[in-house]
Amino acid sequence: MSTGAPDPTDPNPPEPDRPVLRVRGLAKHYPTGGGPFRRRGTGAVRAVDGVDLELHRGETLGLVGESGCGKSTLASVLMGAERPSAGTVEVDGQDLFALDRRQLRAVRRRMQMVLQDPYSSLDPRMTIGRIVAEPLAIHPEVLPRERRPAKVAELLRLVGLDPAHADRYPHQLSGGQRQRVGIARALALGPELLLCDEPVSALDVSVQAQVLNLLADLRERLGLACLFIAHDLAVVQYLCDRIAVMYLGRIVETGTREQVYGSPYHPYTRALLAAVPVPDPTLRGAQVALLEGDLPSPADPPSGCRFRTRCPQAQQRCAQEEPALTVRPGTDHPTACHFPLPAQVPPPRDPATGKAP
Amino acid sequence: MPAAPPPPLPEPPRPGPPLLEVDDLHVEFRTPRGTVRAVNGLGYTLHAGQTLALLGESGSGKSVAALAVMGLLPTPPARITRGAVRLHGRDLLRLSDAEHRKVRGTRIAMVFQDALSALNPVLTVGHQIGELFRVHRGLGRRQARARAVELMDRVRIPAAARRVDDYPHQFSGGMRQRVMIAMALALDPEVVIADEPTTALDVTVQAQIMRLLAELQQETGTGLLLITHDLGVVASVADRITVMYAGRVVEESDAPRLYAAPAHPYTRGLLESVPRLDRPGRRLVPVPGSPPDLAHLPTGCAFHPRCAAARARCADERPALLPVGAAAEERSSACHFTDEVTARGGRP
Repeated sequence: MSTGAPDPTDPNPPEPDRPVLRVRGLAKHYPTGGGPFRRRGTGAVRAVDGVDLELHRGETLGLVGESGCGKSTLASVLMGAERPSAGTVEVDGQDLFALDRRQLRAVRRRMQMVLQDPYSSLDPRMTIGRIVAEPLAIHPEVLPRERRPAKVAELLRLVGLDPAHADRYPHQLSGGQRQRVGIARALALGPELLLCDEPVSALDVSVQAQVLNLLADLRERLGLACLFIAHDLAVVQYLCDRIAVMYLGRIVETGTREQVYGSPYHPYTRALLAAVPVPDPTLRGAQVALLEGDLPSPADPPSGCRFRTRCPQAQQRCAQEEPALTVRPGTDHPTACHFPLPAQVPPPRDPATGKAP
Repeated sequence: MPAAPPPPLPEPPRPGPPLLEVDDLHVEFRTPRGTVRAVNGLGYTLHAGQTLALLGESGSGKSVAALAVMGLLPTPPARITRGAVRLHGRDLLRLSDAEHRKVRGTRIAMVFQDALSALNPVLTVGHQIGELFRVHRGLGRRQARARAVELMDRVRIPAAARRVDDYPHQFSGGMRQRVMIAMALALDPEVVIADEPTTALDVTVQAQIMRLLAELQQETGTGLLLITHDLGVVASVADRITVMYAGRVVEESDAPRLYAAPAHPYTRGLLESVPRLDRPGRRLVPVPGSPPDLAHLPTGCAFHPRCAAARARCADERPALLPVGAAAEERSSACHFTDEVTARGGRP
């Protein structure tokens, strides 16, 4: 909890070392049970279960994990769409869930979201111009009405669209153009923090690169802090300075891009990286140990380390004691593993079956 | 910058006899918006024991073409206006519905992307796998169930004997996809068509499924037609690759050569726009623009509005799919300026 939260309307730039976003002990549990045929209150799906994150100005943090790991639940809590079961979310030092409505509104201006699906996240009955101007209509104090059309044109140019697109409707645009509109809308209020939830996974490969480069350029030009949530490890590597790997509601490894991709210590991170197919047929054939099985249910996570049921290295201690996310002897970044793997750069290999390389 | 000469690549493997030949296939859809031309003269040949990848983005026509081969296109609105689909030289498009259905069950099988909607939720997986043996092989209930357990074992579903009576929703996504693969292989088909079989799966599960498909393909010697948009998945299993754009083949090659030295600007653009784990720090070069509107295809080469190398000729004249490189390489590309594309670069 921060002490002496500043007035949200405070125009002074915040101290340089304070993170734009600070998440502490965040948990989101969904109670299960209830209903006519079940005992009440039998348990909870622990979608997010104790997550700490820090995001600094101008930095991009990539949150990776497979489906069911809790990354999208985390995003919806961060956006204030859901209240956390425990923990705090601070934006510029202010606890998001301790603010009154007026303060919350002011904080919301500083954080905006880019969503996955550019088809369903834009209102089909609104023109592109109205969609991009909508945040300005909700926060009328930012810009007087007569100056908004010029601002919309500026935003459209910023994301590489023709300002003439303002009169069109979403269905007249391609998927890539729609995602640009989503980004323009997110930038309308001049946010400091952009939450991107799988922003390119619905796009075709040839278009995906356009949007990735756009996000990289905008982040640089506008000094944005970005939380980039994605399942595609190559995309995250391309865009992010720091990485957090999530498994079953917890962060299991975090560090700089070079640390996490160059020498992953957690067996899950390493397995995840090894499973990514490399687009080079000459690398085919090397046998890679693949993970067995599937993600356990977050309603009934394994005791101790949650990854132990799929971990090739698991030992007795892993079932008894939950490993904390800390820097361990012989490692240079935090992992939640009792027995971190020795540092090594895994050679790029291919997961398909095969003959000897 | 002169590219270093790439290391010599192995000779393309000698293909078995042609199994499935698609020739000059045209499919269109009549819609209120006009005629959508989804497939415009597609041709490929799948040989026995071979894995052929149809690589393309959304709207490239790759899935529509697969449905045409399977005889599963809804007609109307779809219409096959020209072409042939030959299995061992016999044109499937000329078969009656009943005959086509028989081929579909026994000689060509398909694995779909979304196993959950392809399986019947109110029947056990054992029943659904066993049904194939009851209907096509005339087995009794008990024998069919035993064969179902065998197949589930073969696709490495743990505790198959216990899980045979479970329902689809009791399986994870990866296990459901294994059930789909088991059903596809049940009647020992000659051709398996897998349409984006791992797109709905997580990366660790995707790797398991791709490995399984490759192993089973080697065991059975089936011809595998893999339809996908994923350059990584293709690289891991395909012998040959057919790249599609706007319903046509733009490039065809064995896998190593296609990745080492793409001969079509679109293939090259795809390779340069994918972020790769093994090449950190490389700036992506996107393909500008968007995939074409199939109701209003560009004139000439359909890729010309997005192509950096395009000239006037590209808008006027549609390039034919012609051989490139040495004859033994059996590569072809549909670009007026293929020689320039290949000359300008080995690896992207």
